[in-house]
Amino acid sequence: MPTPRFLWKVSAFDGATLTTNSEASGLPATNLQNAIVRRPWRTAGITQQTWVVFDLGTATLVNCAGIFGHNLRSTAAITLQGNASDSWGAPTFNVALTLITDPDGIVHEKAMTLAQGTFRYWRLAIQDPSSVNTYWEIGRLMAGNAYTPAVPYTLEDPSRMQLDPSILDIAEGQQAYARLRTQYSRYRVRFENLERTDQDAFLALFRHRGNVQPLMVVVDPTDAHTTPRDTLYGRITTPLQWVLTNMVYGTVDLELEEVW
Amino acid sequence: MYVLCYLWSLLMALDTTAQVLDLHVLVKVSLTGATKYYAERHVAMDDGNWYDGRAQIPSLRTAFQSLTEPHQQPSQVTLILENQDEGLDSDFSTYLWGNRDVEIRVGEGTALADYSLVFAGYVQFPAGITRTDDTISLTLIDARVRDLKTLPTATYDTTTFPNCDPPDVGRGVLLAYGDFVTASPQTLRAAAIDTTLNLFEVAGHTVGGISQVYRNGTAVAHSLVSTAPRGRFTLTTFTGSSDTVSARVIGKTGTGLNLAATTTLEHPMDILYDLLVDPLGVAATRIDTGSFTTLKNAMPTLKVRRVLDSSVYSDSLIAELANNVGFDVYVDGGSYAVKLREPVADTTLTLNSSDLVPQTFTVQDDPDRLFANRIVAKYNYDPANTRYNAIYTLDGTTSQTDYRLISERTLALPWHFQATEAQARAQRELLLFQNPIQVVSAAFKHRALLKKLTDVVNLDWSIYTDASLQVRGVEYDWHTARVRFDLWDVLSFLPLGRWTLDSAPAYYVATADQQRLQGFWTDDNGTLGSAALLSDTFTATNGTLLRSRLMNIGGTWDDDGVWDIYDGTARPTATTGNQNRAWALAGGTMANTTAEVSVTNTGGFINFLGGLVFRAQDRYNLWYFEIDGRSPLPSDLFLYRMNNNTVYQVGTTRVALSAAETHTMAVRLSGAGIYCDVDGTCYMATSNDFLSAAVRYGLESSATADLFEHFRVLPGTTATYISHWF
Repeated sequence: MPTPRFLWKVSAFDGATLTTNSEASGLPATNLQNAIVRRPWRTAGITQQTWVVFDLGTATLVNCAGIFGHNLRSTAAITLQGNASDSWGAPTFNVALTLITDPDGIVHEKAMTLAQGTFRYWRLAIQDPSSVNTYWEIGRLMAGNAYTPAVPYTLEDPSRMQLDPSILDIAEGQQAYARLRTQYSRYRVRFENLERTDQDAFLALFRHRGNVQPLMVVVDPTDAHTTPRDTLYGRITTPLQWVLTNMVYGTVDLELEEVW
Repeated sequence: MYVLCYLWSLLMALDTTAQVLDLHVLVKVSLTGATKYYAERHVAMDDGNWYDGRAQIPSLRTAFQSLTEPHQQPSQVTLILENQDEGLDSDFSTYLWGNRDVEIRVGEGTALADYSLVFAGYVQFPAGITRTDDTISLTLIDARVRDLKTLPTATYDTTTFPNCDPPDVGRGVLLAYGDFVTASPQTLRAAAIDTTLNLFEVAGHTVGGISQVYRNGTAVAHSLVSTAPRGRFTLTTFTGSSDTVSARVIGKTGTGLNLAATTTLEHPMDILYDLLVDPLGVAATRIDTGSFTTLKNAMPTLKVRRVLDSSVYSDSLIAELANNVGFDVYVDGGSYAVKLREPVADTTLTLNSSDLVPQTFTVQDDPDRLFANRIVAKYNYDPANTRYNAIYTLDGTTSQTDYRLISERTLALPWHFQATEAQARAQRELLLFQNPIQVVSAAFKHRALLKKLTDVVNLDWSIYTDASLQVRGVEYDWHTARVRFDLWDVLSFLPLGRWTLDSAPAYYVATADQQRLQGFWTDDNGTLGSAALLSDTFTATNGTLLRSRLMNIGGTWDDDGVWDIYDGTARPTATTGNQNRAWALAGGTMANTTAEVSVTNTGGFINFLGGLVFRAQDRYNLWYFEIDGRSPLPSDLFLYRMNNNTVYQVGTTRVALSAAETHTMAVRLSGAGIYCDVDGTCYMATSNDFLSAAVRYGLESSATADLFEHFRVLPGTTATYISHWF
């Protein structure tokens, strides 16, 4: 049974000082630190290598990172790099984020890694010699120390639903019309027999994120690198509620919805 | 929410043939020191701006006030911005939002060029901002409201004119359009702007001339000082505070819309353009001069005039001009545009069950009670005596009999001063409103989203089959991508005749759409292409000599704006040469259905078109063409069954020409005039059994193009319609 990762402590990256070699006026690299995916960092054009450097001030552990809302093609190479100094000739940490293409050839707007490193300087680098875009953009970077519960969620309970919120209208002739909206996923998971430590961790998570602020959840870390369909940038839509057994072990139901 | 808005040019970026639209509504607020961008959901555009997705999509509505007031209503939009996160608090405390410009665009994708302006206005001030715990609501006012002014804009004062005659102080500086000298001359008040010099001024702008000056109503000699930049003259004798001075004046001159040189502004389009640009200060870039030019070309000889001597709200002034001439003024893509208010057919978009939103379709008979079958037109307005010098009363007797009611409407025509134009306007008013007009209200899906005010759509639903209806009101709901139309069935109550251009293409070279749109048309000699429409599949291969002269088939307007009606008492005389004629009778006798033509060309054909309008329905009628007095050939016989929707029958025949010849053709009921009903019972026809008959003919150079075989009438025609036609 897989144990999910919850990444919500991202203040180090969100508070970092950024430098980049390309950003469009009005859509700066600092938008990577903004919770709104559709408020992207957009490059000023296509160059051989475009990058953003995050100076976290102190060496900081990263064991989970993801980008969301990008327009990269499958030919692009996107790399997360970490180093003790702001020097990128041969960074100590150098991990490619795999871009996943679905059976219809559509690139998922998300990519992630669970590789681990502790550095002060981190860099996100993009290369795509065959790009047909006039610019690259990424809506959100999430990176930091993810929380992993001590127990996995119960295997029989997880569910995933794909929803289409498009606004549908039916004409007299039963012809369907719609105003398009972005589809999203909804997950329901249950954790049973969580001990007090994990209960406190979930409480801390909920106090910070509530039902409003998004977090990154890797529902199934076992194949997250190859099929990020079970990794989402979303928010909790249910109250945090425990069913306490003997006032010690807790059962928690969580519902999560993707945010775009 | 039922709010009003600007209209826009075609939203070309919207693929309305698609079932799914990925549209955005973008809002741009131009503050002092900052520009804010909002959308109904987050989107980063290619202009490098991120549009914050906190705007609730407003409904956008635009409409004409009514057909009797063909002027677009001022627009207003309520824009609600979500502020649950208090993210707007800083912006609203830092910047002033009142009276700041706002633009709303609609389109698909992230390329701003693919978006079209649907509203241009400003935040109302004061009382334009409402805050709640969760939202900030902005009341947006149509930018056109800023254009409105009270005219004349200037008054005589003692600062500018220290020696102004006291009775003239505080009076408006005249704004005079048109010719007050040549036809139906009238005098305009002159202001004594310097009593020490006996200096007078007739207007605050350049005038075309001052022909005669009157002191206390008596003609006196004057010395012209200048016509530009203001019309001024002096008198030798003047008693201040006592004498009244007036003058006959050629009004304001200028280049107008597209005049080659400075000249008198007396065409409605030149005047409207000048009104907008000069006293109202509208930038020329905000005027759709193409639509102005099109309308001017449609009625090149029309002249109007008006003097603005007391306070008139510019909105009312423009509405009066539009209603007097018969066109619509509206805003398209942020620009002022005009369109002749006329019945047209347009089959480019037929809306049907696949477009109609369920439970939204209603039809009302004349909901605004515009019905009128007596028009009392008042024109030739005399500004000096504040009265109209002429009244023209027109009765729709058939309507009065049918509806057992006389409904009178007074039609004030302050811009008109010539009888023919004013009376033509009254005739059009009667034609349009002497039957209760039908108004359809219904909501449609994507394919209708590109249609805008004044456009025509075809409707195939309920009681309508391929009926052309004009959009008189539009409400766009971008949230659901629906559009609700108020559609006016103006077409089915008007005759085929239309007011059109000399330059309109002849029927045989017109495109199918032009044929549909223009039906038949005439130049100022009455030459026309066809009295009806051809079938969709018709392709003319010849007929370069085809010309027809329309005399009275239901009446038509040519470009002098006069609606010609043949009353049956003055049958046109035969004319030699390639002069082609047609005429119809008000009804009663067959005798006058004969058409006679003498032609000088050799070879080719004379095509005859004839028809009858019958009183009876569900009957078989046998009738024929009688050519040159001989017995009818089988091909000249016509047997029709009248059904419930048909009260007319038409047929064609032709005569081959071998030399300069004279031929006559008449429409005859068969034998002694027999018609049979559906069960086979036949009756003797009498003169009361048909209402009218018509014969028309044209010349054709060869037999390869048999135009009239394709004769048909417009979709949606009715008995009433046809009775006007023949």
